[in-house]
Amino acid sequence: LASAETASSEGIQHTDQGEEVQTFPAPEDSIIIAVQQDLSEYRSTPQIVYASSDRVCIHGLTTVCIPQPVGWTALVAGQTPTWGASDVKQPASLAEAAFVRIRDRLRAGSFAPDQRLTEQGLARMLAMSRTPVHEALERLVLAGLLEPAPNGGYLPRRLTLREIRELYELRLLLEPQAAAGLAGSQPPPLEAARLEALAEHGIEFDAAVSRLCGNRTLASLIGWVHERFANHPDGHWDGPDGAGRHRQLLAAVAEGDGSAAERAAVEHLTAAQDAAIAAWRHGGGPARPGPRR
Amino acid sequence: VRQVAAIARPSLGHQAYEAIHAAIAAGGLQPGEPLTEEELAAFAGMSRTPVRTALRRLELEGYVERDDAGRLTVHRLTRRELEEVFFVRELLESYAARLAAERISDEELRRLRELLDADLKAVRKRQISALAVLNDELHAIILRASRNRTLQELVGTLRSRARGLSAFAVGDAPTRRAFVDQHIQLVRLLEDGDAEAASETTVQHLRMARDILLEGLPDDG
Repeated sequence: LASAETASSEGIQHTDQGEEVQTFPAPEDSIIIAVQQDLSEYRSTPQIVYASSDRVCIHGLTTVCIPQPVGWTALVAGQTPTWGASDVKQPASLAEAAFVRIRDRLRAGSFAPDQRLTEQGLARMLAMSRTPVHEALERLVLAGLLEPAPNGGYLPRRLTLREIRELYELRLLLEPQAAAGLAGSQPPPLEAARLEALAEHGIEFDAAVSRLCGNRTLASLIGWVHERFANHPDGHWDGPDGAGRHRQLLAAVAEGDGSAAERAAVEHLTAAQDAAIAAWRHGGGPARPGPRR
Repeated sequence: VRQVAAIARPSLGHQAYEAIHAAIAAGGLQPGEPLTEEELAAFAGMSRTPVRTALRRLELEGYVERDDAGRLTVHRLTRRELEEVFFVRELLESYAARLAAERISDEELRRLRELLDADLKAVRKRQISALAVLNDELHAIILRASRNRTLQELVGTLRSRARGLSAFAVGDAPTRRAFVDQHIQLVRLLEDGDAEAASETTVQHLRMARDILLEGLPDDG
């Protein structure tokens, strides 16, 4: 990481290539490993790349999170994670930024299952005023990720078994079509290599397939379904040999065989569904670190 | 006199529709451009009443959008947006029809039959806005009858995620009649509990609507 910029304060800075970039306050559980100004179509907004315990993220963007080994190499080599590009956008408002940052923490399992979250506490943690945090909390409740706590504040919300079943019905409806779309459009070699590297990363692989499928509306709906699992970070629930089935899907994509890719996706999701339901039954919810009541 | 007015009005409204539609398609009216009845009336060389009629239809078809304050702006739907959204609607709505065939209640079926009567009346009287409203309710009931709440929520989020979702294929009189016939067929299949055929009819229904909407769109530039 010779070229990494390590400062994290706000303001204009220079990378060691002499690029001028503006920094954002980094999340407290992460370190900045690189500063990138030139991110494909998004040249106008300089980005900070930061790494937390298990992933590399481009801060200020909503959904680009790259599992570390892939992102690390790609970004250090100065390449652009184009497969995330369709999702890359600056938060439109402070409330949107607050929503994204709280959601990402839920996704990363940063809160204990019984940790009460308050507007004031979150505002302090995110160094924001209460108004955008208030709006973000309302949206998180609507998205089913938080629920009001009995004594005020909010708690991370678990999915019910019925919701898990319904969500998997939708995954089985939508994602095989995305796999077929990807096979039909033949991703460029770089993208294919990135998919290959993501094969062992659970739902992030499926998310990457949807982003490359060629139908933005379909990808956006799949993103919505995946988002509902945000509180279940250990619940990617791939079942045994999820990576193997991901590679099977990629083999079909490489041959341009849409119906084989579709079948591989159905097989993969059926196994994942069984594993998710078994995990839910076993623990009354996905296994989570932290204290339990 | 009233009869003459009733005949003349749709045709003036139609002329206004054609003029504004052509201007949007040709790019004379740009996406995002605010539209006012006064300016469009001057542009089309007619009074505000037919312009208002035309704007209602353009709004139904997705060419024109209305914001929360009621202001109208141009939205030029692309073929790609429309094809994407119909691909997804086909998946979701045919699945909803399949589930509904097994799960729909007698009460919901009764309401659907009422809607079919209203549908037939509206198609005879050429009440296009009424047809669009009835169409929305009919498909909303089928979605609800799927008893998959997550599916209903997902369809609910489509509105903010996809352009062209609310595009309603108006079509000519025989086309409108054909849409109503498909509604009648669909309701019968739901009554019979024929999940496979209900799903297939939904696909046909949506493809017909998509093709009509595509006819009105220029190639994506």
